Amino acid sequence: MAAVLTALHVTAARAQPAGAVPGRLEFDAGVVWAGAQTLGSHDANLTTGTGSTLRLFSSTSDLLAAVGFEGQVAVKVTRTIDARASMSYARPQLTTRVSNDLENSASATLSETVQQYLVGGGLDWYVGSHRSGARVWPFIGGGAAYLRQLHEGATLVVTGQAYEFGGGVKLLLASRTRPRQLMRAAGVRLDARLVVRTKGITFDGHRSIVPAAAASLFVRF
Amino acid sequence: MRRCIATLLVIFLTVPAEPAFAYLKFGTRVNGRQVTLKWVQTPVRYFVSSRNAVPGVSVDDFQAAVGRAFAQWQAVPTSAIAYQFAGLTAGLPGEEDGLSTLGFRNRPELDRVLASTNFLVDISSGALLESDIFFNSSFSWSTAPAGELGRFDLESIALHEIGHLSGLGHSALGETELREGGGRRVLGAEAVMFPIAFGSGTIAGRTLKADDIAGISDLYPDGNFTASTGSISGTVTKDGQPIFGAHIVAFDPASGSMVATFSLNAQGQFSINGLSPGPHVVRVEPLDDAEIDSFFDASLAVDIDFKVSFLDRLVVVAAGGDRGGVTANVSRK
Repeated sequence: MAAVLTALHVTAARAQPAGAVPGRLEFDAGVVWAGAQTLGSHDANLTTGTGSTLRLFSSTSDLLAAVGFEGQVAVKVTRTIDARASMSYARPQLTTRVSNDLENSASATLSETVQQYLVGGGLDWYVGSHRSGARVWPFIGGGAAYLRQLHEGATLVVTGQAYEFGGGVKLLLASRTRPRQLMRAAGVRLDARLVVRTKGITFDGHRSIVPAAAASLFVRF
Repeated sequence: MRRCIATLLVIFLTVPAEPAFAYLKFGTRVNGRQVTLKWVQTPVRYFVSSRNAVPGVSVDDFQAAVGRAFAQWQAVPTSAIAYQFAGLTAGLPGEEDGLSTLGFRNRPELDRVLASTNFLVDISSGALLESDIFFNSSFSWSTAPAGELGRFDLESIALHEIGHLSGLGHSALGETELREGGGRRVLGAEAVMFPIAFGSGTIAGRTLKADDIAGISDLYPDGNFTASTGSISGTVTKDGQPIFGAHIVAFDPASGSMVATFSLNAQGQFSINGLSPGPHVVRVEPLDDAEIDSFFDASLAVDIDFKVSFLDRLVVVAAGGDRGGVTANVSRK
């Protein structure tokens, strides 16, 4: 991507239709951070003679925050809307902290590495009116994705759905408008999202909401 | 057909005082090989003794209580075991008559034994021929729905003994404390098959737990059990050497359920079957909450000189699979 950017002539963008991002097809590649997901707490309980419980130890589990990779392909469907397909990959840690052991075993944090894939699509809407040659393009967007999580060693696969809502900006670092030049623009995409996961790794069956942020480089053709 | 009453005598104790021999699953040696003791033909037909009713528990009460206990084992969805009430008999439990009989006997000399199960085994094939359960009428019993102060709940004790009748040994999934006058008091247990009973007046032992369900399903799996659950297997070591008799608990942090076993040979090997798919916490502890001879033959050297510890990572169980090669290293106290 860096090579592509340096190969571009960094020239002032010539007149564009107002409100339109240059180019019709966009490729993005970058990193995505997803926040931690609380999975819940369960005690290891014994039943007492009165029918109450005696805690053998406590446990609290989380799917930790992780940074992964994300790629997207977007197609302009109107002057202000792109439709995109995306895929991301991350390796978050699933941890369980055990504590309060009845027999005084030391507290410990146990973990495994999860491989997490998201494959989906959505829409980005460029908001506001922009003058010709604008270099900052705010957008809001949303989408849905298929969630596939593989436990340690790919021994167990869990699937679900993820729904994303958020917004961000695209910063045009370079653009070209001369006829017959294939590449029209390149820049950086920054966005923040809320991700609603249903199913997947969940200990209570409830949906979870985690924050996410992404930074990527894009080129448009 | 050569017959003998196996030396297996499984005793449910108020406090352990009598030796017993039991594994998670019972076994017997046939022609030099170990055979798991289990019923080949089901339903297992059982009789109820019409003799020796005790105050507060009529024969009908007794039959109804043990019937509920049998029904609970039979209702385990992942197990294929089934039982059938075959009628009343004038016989007594412990009589070698080819009938599996449940009933009271007055054994005041067994002052710490609530009930026990014995087996008649065909030693040429290892087949179970008969299994009787006696309830010691020198104790006070109750079948009241909510239990009765000062009386032992017959249904709870029957549930435990029927586990033995089905071939299950004792589970160590419980915590106890020593009594001042000797013996132990149960602080809590998460298996009906824990060898020491709750005190009198409680009905807390009337419900099968995850450990019991895994055990009976492992012994009599139905078509779905093997495919829908998984297992963890491996070795327990101390100072690099395998240890025998360590108690290993697999805890499911998603549900809070626990299933346990022991390291059962000189190589320190264990296998916990019937686990729900997903990550598990593995906890290893010494067998110090009941007398060791409640679980193993007294001649076997069980190592209890180590600290309770957790395996340093989560162990993921896949449906239908075995997560093998787990090594749990424990350290001396």
